[in-house]
Amino acid sequence: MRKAVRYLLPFGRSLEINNISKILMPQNRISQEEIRKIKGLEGKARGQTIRNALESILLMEGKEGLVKLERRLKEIGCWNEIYKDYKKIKIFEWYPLWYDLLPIVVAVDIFNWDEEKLKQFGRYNQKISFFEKVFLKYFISLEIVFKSSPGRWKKHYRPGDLEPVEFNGKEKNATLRLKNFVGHSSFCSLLLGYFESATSYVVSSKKVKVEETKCVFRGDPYHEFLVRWE
Amino acid sequence: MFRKTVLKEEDFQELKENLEDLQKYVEDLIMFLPLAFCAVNPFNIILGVNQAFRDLTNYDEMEVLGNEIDFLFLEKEKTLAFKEKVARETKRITDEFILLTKDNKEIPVSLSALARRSEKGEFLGYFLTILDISETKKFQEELERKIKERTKELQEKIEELENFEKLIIGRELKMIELKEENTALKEKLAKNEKSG
Repeated sequence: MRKAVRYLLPFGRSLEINNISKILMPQNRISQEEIRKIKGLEGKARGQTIRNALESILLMEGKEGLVKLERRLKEIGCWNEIYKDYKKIKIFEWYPLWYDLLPIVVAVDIFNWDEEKLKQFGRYNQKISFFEKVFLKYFISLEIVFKSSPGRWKKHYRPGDLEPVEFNGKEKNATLRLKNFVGHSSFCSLLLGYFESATSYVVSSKKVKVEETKCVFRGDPYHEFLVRWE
Repeated sequence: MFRKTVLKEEDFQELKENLEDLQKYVEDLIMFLPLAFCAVNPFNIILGVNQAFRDLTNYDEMEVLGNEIDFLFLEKEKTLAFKEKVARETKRITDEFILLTKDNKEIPVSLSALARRSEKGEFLGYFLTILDISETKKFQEELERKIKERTKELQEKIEELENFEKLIIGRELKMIELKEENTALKEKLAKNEKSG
């Protein structure tokens, strides 16, 4: 039986639940306070991540989904013109972190995405990433994928340190630690899908499971992910 | 010891712009290509496909990305040998296969692959192009059918000619035989008249 966990929600809120998917099914729309805090997050994201996020929303929710997203972002006063023609976003350019986070948080809100949907969103983000196609040298082996995590993270986000903590080829598991990055609780599930997809590219089995064993939104000092494969 | 190079802001900006241009060039080129194309990693997993690939196979991008290329082809053992050869060779490898589309069509295709390697020579995967050769195959089959038909017709004519030849030669031989018989009879008659 899964133990109930006390989740520290962003910006001082907390919630005790026994199913993480509940946290991703917002009961209320995003408050102005939450928006203000997301906008206040320090850090930057590559244009690539924003483009991938919008492209993945298109894949999951269709053109109508993008229209809904635009409408909602306008309603909350967070619409950004770069979202309109997102295919023209300069992928190597750095943008404020919230440019990437807000459309994701709003998408979770308006499409009622649960954890599985968010993981799917993360998998799509990884699959369509131009960086992931170009930097083939990271895909020679699973160990190299693992060891190259810090560099790969820094190609997408600043700040944040994605550290390869332990790689156990025999036991078929690895641990990654994400430090100095808060983000948003929705982002954790996105990362589960992203890591899962990246791992499945270098193992013959499609059975890859990623679990977040530590999370800053549960009071831990950092995010930690346990990757297991067969 | 290596010296850390510090880029000036304007150099960094220029480098970034060049990268953007390169990225756009690569994306535009791949999308423009009328030839089905896919990028594959060393584990034979599809990393990217272009529009022509989607048109030919009828698969959406998300249905193929992250899958091994094997499911696309009918000949499983031949595909395995092809992949091994691509990883070994430094030149382009080409062979014919049957492509299995999403709507269960079987299309004869010509596959070409070229390995990508790092500066150290490590195998990084390969680029794969898929050319629909069904029209060429149809044309080839039609040509072969016509050649067979013509060959058959020609053989029949030859047989007719041979039979005719046999008939003519038979008649010629009979005529010679009759001529000889006639001469012999004439000689016999002349002999009888002299003695008579």
